[in-house]
Amino acid sequence: MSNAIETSGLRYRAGKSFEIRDVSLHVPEGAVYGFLGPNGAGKTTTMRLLLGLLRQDAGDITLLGHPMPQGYVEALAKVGYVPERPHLYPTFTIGESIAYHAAFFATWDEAHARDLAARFELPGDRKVAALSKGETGKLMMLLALAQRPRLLALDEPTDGLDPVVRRDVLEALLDYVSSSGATVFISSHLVHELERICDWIGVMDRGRLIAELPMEEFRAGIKRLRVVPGARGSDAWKSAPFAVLARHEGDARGEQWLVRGWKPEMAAAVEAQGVSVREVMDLDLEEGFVELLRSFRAPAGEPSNGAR
Amino acid sequence: MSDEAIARLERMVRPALTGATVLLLSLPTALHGQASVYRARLDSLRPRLAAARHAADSVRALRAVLPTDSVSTPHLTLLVNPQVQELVRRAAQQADSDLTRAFGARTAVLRNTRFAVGIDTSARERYYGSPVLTMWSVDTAQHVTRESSEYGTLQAVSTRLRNHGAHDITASLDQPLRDWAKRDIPWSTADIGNPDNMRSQLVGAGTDVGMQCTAGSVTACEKGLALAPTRDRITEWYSAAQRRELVMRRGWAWRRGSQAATFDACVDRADDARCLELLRAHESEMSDEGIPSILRMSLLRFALDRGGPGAFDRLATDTGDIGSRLAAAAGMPQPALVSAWRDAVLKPEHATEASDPVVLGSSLLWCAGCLALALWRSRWS
Amino acid sequence: MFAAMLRAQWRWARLPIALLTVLAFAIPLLSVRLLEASDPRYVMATMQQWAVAYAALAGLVGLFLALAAWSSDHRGRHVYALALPLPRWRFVLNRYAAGAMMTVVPTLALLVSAFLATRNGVVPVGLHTYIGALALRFMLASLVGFSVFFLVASSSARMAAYVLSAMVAIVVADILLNSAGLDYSLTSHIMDVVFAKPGLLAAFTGRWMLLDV
Repeated sequence: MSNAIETSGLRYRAGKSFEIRDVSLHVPEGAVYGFLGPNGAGKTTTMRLLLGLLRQDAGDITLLGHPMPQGYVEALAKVGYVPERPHLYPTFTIGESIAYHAAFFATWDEAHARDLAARFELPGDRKVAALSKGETGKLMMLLALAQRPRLLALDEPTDGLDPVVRRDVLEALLDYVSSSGATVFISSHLVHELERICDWIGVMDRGRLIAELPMEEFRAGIKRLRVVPGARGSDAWKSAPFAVLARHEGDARGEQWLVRGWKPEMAAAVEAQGVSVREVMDLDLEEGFVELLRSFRAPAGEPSNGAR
Repeated sequence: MSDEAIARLERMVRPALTGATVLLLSLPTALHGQASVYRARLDSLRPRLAAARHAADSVRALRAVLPTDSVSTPHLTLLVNPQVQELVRRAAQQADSDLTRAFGARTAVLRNTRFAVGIDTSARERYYGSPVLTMWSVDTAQHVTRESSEYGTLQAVSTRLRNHGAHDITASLDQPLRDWAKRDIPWSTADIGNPDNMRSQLVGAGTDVGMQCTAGSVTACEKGLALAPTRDRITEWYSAAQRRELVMRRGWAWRRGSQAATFDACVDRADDARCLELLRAHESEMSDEGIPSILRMSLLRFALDRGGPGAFDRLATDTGDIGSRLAAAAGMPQPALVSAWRDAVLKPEHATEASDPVVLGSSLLWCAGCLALALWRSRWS
Repeated sequence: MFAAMLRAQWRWARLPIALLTVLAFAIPLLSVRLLEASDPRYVMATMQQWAVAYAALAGLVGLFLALAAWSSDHRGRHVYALALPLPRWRFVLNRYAAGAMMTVVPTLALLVSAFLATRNGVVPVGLHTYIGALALRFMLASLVGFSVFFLVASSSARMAAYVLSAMVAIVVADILLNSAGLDYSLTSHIMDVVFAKPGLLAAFTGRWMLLDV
């Protein structure tokens, strides 16, 4: 499978205190790739680098087969971009915004634009400056979808939208993806939202990509184990065949370990270290995400203190 | 003035200058409590201080340019200091040649005049940060020029010499010609002013003779240029409407007093007799030029250019009236000369700056430069 | 694509440009209608006074067109413009071309007005009308003004701060030179260079006269 987006050793310094470092992304074609990270992690900067809006200090970027930023003209013609903040001209009406945007894209689908405008209930004569946050979000999504892109780069597209609008926007997005097979690169800190639609995730923190894996693998690999260490088992976590991201000192019922790379057949190996595995619990994406960040931020070699 | 005399003068001036400066500096502290009383005295000291400074500067300037060498051309003798000797030599050669071409044998009068030229590096007042160029006529002690030596180029020095030469040659001419000319006879047409200005002066003469001359009347041109006699300038130079306008523009003081009624009749009722009455009462205050006198120079230079070699000598030696002297110089009848001159002045070569290829081209280049810079900015490159 | 950009810029600039177009139409008519005398000297003096209005108007046209070209992009931090699939130099060129084209509107108004103003034989003997030359000059000055402001407006706020600082520094340097007793004005020196031909703003100087010798 080829990648719609591929980066290696990406580096960019923004100001004195923030730096994107050694980001190597691989977004498979046709995937819905969730780009997760807390606020200030560098998601927006990375997305701007990917689209050639910023120029990297080092590293390579390939977007839909085009090297960036050199090939930005060809690449951007196939990308529907919804930026984090509304960027449309506020003095335009919705109709004018659509007409203006359409002029730049050879693949513009006028009928689809009309359909979406009707579906999103966007009147053509309303001024962009007078639109609510939800309407602005819908208009930006309309513009991105009606150009029939091969890649949708969505930077927090539903941030601040009410649940109804969010559902409308995501539905339109999924409809398009299912019919076109386009790749979606969507950044968000709303983890639950991504959990439903993404098949790949990448997690960014402090300017670095700390994880990139298929959603299934993420879900399956990150578990919470309730264990009871034996007399010789207090340091047993160190020799476990999986990564222990966090340990929660427990009560008499034992400890809780947050682990990554768990497989059921590993239980025997742990038991052999004198640790009894009492329960294996599934985690949702948000919990996994939070624990992942904690483990990334913990000092090297130590699992984070997971007391909550 | 000898070295010793200059040194003596300097010795006299310097203590006064130093004393005045010390006094000036110490006064504010000493007079703190009675500032208002002493400020007046302090102010009165300032002109004296300035005069002392000026005297010191003059002495210094004299010393700085004290000539030690001389430069000679066929008609010019110049005393120079070594610093500018070569520059002055070349400038003098150029000026001599131009003056000879313009004034012919009359240039010989310049042999009586000696000029001094020098660069004063010690002057207190420095123009644009450069030393001061000083030039004067040694014998008459006139035409002292002090200007930035930034302008002390070959061109500037030779222009100065040409101007001084033209002045001295004009001064050597007979009184009627000088009275008519009203100013130094220019050594070239370019020295009078640009053609646009000449055209503006003629068109905007503000008199009927000026307007008629513009419209093609040679007689009007001759009257306006004082080549033909004018018996009554108020009626011959101005139309009735112009007379009324003259009263309106000049007669604000006549609105009151004994002339008020006459003024109102002239202005409000356009009664030309009343206008005439007022203007006659104030005839001495009116301009004595039907056409601005700068155009006399234009005509004179035109005649000399038309006449070729020997034209100036014919002008200077002819004994007729001014018109016939100009005609003699030009080698053509007076009406033809005036008519040709008028055509030359009004020749429609005027172009606004928009059509000026330099402005047009450079403006478009600047536009392209701004655009290139906008494109070059990293965000858009 | 260019048409869309032209439409957009026209939309942003149309109000100030409409106002300036009205002024461009009014000035030649007023300058001739308000003449009190037909004396060429007076006519030229009056025309010379109106010249300032033409030059100022051209500068304003340039300023507003340049602001209109970039203000909306500035508001969105240029993200929209940069995310469009066309070479960036072409985007800037289109913006410039659209703005430059719009200088035609007030210029045409001025041309028509100048023609109407001088149609009824108001030209005194010896004077000529310079309708085309004046309009050409107006357009040239508008273009130069637009280009300069376009450059500044397309730059960042930091660049604008640099330009402003440089201007302040020149004025301060002038004051220091003056107080040091040097008869040298940096400002006037720069003004000379800028306004004398072939200086940057030479198109704004000289005789802007509808009726001239």
